[in-house]
Amino acid sequence: MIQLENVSQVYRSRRGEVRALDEVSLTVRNSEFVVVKGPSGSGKSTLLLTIAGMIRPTRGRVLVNDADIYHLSNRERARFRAQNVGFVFQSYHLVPYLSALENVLLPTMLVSPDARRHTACQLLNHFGIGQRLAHKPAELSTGERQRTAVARALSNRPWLLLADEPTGNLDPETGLQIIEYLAEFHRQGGTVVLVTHERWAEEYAERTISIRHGRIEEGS
Amino acid sequence: MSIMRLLLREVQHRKLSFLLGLLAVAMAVALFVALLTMGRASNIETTRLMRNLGFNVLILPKETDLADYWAADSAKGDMPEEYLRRLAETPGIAADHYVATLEKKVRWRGRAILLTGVLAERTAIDARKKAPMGYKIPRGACYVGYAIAHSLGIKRKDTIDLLGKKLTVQRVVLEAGSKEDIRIYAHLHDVQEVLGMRGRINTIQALQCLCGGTMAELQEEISGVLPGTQIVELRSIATARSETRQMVEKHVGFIVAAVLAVCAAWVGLLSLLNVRERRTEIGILRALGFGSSHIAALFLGRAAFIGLLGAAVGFAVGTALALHVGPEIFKLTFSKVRPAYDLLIPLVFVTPLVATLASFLPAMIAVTQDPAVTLTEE
Repeated sequence: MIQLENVSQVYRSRRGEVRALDEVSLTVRNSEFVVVKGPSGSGKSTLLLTIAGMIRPTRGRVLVNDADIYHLSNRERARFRAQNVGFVFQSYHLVPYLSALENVLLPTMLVSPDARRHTACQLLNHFGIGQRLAHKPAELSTGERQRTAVARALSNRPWLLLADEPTGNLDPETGLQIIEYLAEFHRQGGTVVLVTHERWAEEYAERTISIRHGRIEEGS
Repeated sequence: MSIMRLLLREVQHRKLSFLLGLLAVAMAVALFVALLTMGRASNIETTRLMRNLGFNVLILPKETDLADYWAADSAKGDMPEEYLRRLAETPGIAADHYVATLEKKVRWRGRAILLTGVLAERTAIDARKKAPMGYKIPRGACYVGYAIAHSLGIKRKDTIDLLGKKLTVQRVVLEAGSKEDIRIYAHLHDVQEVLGMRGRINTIQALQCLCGGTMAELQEEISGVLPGTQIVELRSIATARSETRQMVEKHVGFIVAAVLAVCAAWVGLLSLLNVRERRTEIGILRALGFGSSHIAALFLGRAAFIGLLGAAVGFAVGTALALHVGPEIFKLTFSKVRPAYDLLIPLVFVTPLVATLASFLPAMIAVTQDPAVTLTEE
């Protein structure tokens, strides 16, 4: 279970203070599919990165299975991410100089030294990229890149999948396909937190949260 | 997948950045190797050129008044010729190239001349065999100074009567513009015979070695072996030798240090650009669970790889450069320019270390970079 207790995320710049998250309290149960929606700059991505243990909150606590992840050292938090969290970004964020297969193998080198090549191939086959294992991201279509990114996110068998507008750059058909993959992960017992603008994606979720000006307005 | 494979893939992907880094390191190493390889020839050449300035130590009988000696150009008093053997066979003296002479100002054919008997040089017992200094004149022969030969019409192969001794002129010495022009050199034993001073000499000339000892120490060493002598330093020659050597060493040291600094800065700058270019990638790796040590290893490993390859390429280029250019510069000692293979092993260790140190700051920037900033920047 993920619990955010009165989490605030304040950035200070020369132009003043920006409250990306403002006293956010949220609970995500294990095996839950949660959609987070809200306008640009409302704090959705910051919320995901905070849950992932990548931005220490200015105030409040983030508990994962009752343990405050920001009480862990940097090294322990990195290990926590490697073992438990899968990330999907809007811009795929594949490593440009690695092939599709190597991108999927990338997270496994931290957890399983004898890389799970077989599992990675299976995942890519499942996502329809079995014929393009050796292709670099630049040689893949946008849909293939995002499917590779989803395969990478799942390669370590995480229990939590954080997806930040994964359909933002895709045509509706490919976008639907990606959300179907996330739903499939959820059906198998995984927890999904999906940030999206797509209304139809909400149909897959058990709960929808709206966020505006760093505050959760409904569905917490 | 491993860090090494990730590193190699990145190098393949960003070839230009890698090649620029490699070029900088290879250039620095090449220059260093070329300078050091040629420097060895340069040292030998400098030593030879400096040696041509002449002896820088005189060993004279104690009773010689130096004021008279400089005025008359010959020493008053004498000492046993056996001193030469004793000096040469005593180990641990910081000098070499011992030449014994017997010198007198005499009148010959109505002229004042400097008659100099000289014995072929003896090398110190603990010194390496080197090209001899001074003249090696056989018995019955002589070398005639330019002014005397010119005014008396003496030519090579003439026979002259030198105070009752017949000598063959083996060489007319080139004009020196000094007292050398009124000197006649002959074998020491011939001159001893002419002057009635068998077994005696009045000067031993020597060359202080550039092995770090002071003149005072050398004087003490020689006095212990040759009692009743005084040791005089020909300061201008000694100073010229020492200053020239120091100047060359400083010059080379400055060039090497400057090139190293510029190349280290260049490698550091390229690493910094590499870090900036890979900000998003660092963010992704962080999101995937890569720790600081992994990120640092990626950047420092890349720098070490550039250093290792740069050392090998630079050594090959530097050696080729030295072998090609060296003989043109060091005409006297070109045969001494050899590949400095003994530099290769230290370079293989030190160059990656320097490249890694130069990239340390950029690597730390990569490690401390906030991944959230790059991942939310779009």
